[in-house]
Amino acid sequence: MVGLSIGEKHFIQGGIAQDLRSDGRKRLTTRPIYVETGVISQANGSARVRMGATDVIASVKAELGRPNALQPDKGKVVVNVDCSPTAAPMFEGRGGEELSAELSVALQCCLLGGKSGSGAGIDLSSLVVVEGKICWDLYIDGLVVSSDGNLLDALGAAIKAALSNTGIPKVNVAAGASGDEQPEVDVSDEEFLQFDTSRVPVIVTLTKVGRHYIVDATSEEESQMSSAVSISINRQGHICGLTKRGGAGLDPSIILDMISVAKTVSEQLINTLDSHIAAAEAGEEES
Amino acid sequence: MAGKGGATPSTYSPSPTTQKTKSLSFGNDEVLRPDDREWHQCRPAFFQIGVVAAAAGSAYADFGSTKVIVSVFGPRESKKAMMYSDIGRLNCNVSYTNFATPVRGQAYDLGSDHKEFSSMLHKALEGATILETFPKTTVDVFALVLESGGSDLPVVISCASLALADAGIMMYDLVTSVSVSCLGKNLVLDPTLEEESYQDGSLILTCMPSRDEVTQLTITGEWSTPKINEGMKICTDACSKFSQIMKSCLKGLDSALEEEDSNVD
Amino acid sequence: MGEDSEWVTPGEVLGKASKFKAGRGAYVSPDNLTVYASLTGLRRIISPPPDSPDQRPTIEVTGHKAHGAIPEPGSIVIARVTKVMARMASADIMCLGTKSVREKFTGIIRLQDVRATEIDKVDMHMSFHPGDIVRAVVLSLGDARAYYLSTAKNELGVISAQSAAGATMVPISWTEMQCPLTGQIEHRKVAKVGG
Repeated sequence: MVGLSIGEKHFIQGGIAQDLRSDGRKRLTTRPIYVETGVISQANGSARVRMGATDVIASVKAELGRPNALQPDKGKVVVNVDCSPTAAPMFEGRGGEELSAELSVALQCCLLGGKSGSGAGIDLSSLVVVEGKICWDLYIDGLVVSSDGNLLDALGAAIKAALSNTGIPKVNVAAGASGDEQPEVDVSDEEFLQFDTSRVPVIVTLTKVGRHYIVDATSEEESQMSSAVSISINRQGHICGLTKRGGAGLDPSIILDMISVAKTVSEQLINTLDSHIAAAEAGEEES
Repeated sequence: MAGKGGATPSTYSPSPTTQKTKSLSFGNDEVLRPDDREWHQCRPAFFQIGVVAAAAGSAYADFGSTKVIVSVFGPRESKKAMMYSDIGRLNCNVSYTNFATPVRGQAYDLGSDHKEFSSMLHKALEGATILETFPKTTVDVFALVLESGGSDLPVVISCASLALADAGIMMYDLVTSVSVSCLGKNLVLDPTLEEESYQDGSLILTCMPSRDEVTQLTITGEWSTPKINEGMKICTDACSKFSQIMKSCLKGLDSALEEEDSNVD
Repeated sequence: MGEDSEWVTPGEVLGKASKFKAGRGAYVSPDNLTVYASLTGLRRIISPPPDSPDQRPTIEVTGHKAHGAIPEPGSIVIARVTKVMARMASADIMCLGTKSVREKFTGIIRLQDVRATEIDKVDMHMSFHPGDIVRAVVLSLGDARAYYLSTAKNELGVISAQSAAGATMVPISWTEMQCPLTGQIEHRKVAKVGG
């Protein structure tokens, strides 16, 4: 972590208490977001999201696989996050493993919903090609290119953008396969099905510094946090997942307060993100 | 599958899938839970401390068929590879026995389940432990799930805080944890494994009951705000009741008697 | 506050910070100025010494087992030397004060901390041998690996050592010990014991 002097720490904490942060933002103002889609041609869908100095890439790859025996009517989604040593020297070797695992678990919790699939951003049953036999496996990989705080929100936004950018090839199943045989399939390389991303939630992390909480914290501000609550919220304003970081305890009423604040912030974020994604998609098609 | 060796087994081993009839219709108000509990009733809880002689502190907990044992070692010298630190460290590890799950070794097949639990246990405990009192050293918390019967993580967390208290580690408060599952429109407190497999969403709340502070909160699935309100309320109530049981266990009151009184409703 | 002793568990409220001071096994929460217990044990209230400026009684929680002792700067330890190198000797801490430790802790005695005078003339191999029992003071928490120990006082240093012949040697001066069997003299940083 960046070594901060006592003076700098006081400056950050004092600024947050007075609703004027070091970079001039208010407590609930986010940094400008830049979205680029289709940055990785090898993937079925990809996006790059930048918020200040935080820079992340998400890619979606779809592969045909077999559904889990216990859930024959569902496809599979695997979320994995990688922290590149290019972002910070401490990510080298195994150093980034802990953070990667934490981010992956949090994203899974926020995107995939409960066991029965309620609240899931991705409808797993839409990934089935032939029930019990063939389904799409979605591999969502996040990469942290540069880290300046608020990684989870940035990754969440990048995944949402990448999913909007994802085209899943149309599959024609050869008729006549019966019984236990694996049916033959023909994957079209011309026709693609667009992915429905209207239900994919956004993630809003509220970082508590002192007595106040802020959105979109930089890593300097994160170093001063006592705890942080990440809430994923969909367009309907329903909570799809929540995780807490940091050991310090919070009063239950503060958590409920944070949830309602996160809701307001998420509305703006969803709108900004949607318009950015639309602009990025349009820009990509032109070029 | 287990038991497919060359030799014919001389004893009968039932196939795990045929053990239970899986025809539960949740969402219906009249239907009680499989174990005849009310929606907002916990399973009978039983705690015991000092069960492992070799450890500095230990505790055993069973909630219905969920049985866990936690040992605490230390404070002891941190591993050589660790950086110097002015405050102490907690090293948490959660593991499952091979026979904890209906299918042998299932917990490992599910992937990083126990690794995930280990980090969640760590997060739940670190805020409640006064780490400044054992600088540079490490306290090891090893949890073993003997039998997985649902709500494993909350039971592990509560049990671990009891083991830490037994070891004489300075703590701000005991830590209690409880989960609710969302089944249809019902909120089900302290779900069993069976109920968990049908859940639409889950909420795990960890708190320090005397100080009324939430140290961990994890929500999955889709929830509306009023439902979160309700869920948190149910959980905090249950947590404060559990803390009474844990306190009397630490004070060495007759634990057999506790078992009967522990029906939290 | 009722009777003088009562079992409490971590997190239990002991009293208001305006009325009591937190002693061992208790802490004050800065949020609501309340004294809480941090250990399981008996609550005891200790009256302040009559001449102290703070007239609040101290609350402490004792009785139940506390965790094993851990070294802290200033504590006197008994350690066994495991390895002697040119610039330092490493030792396993066995006792803290009068209590034996439950877990192993490693300490090192650096060349400059062996004795108080003529620091530049110290030879590590003339001061300690592996297997010697030394009394030392913990200087600091040290680095990630070991606690820093010092024997730079008259009463600190080797308190028990065996000769090459295997007998426990008798100290004969500040720097020498003698084997009772062979009469051979070996060099040590000898501690002044007793007297």
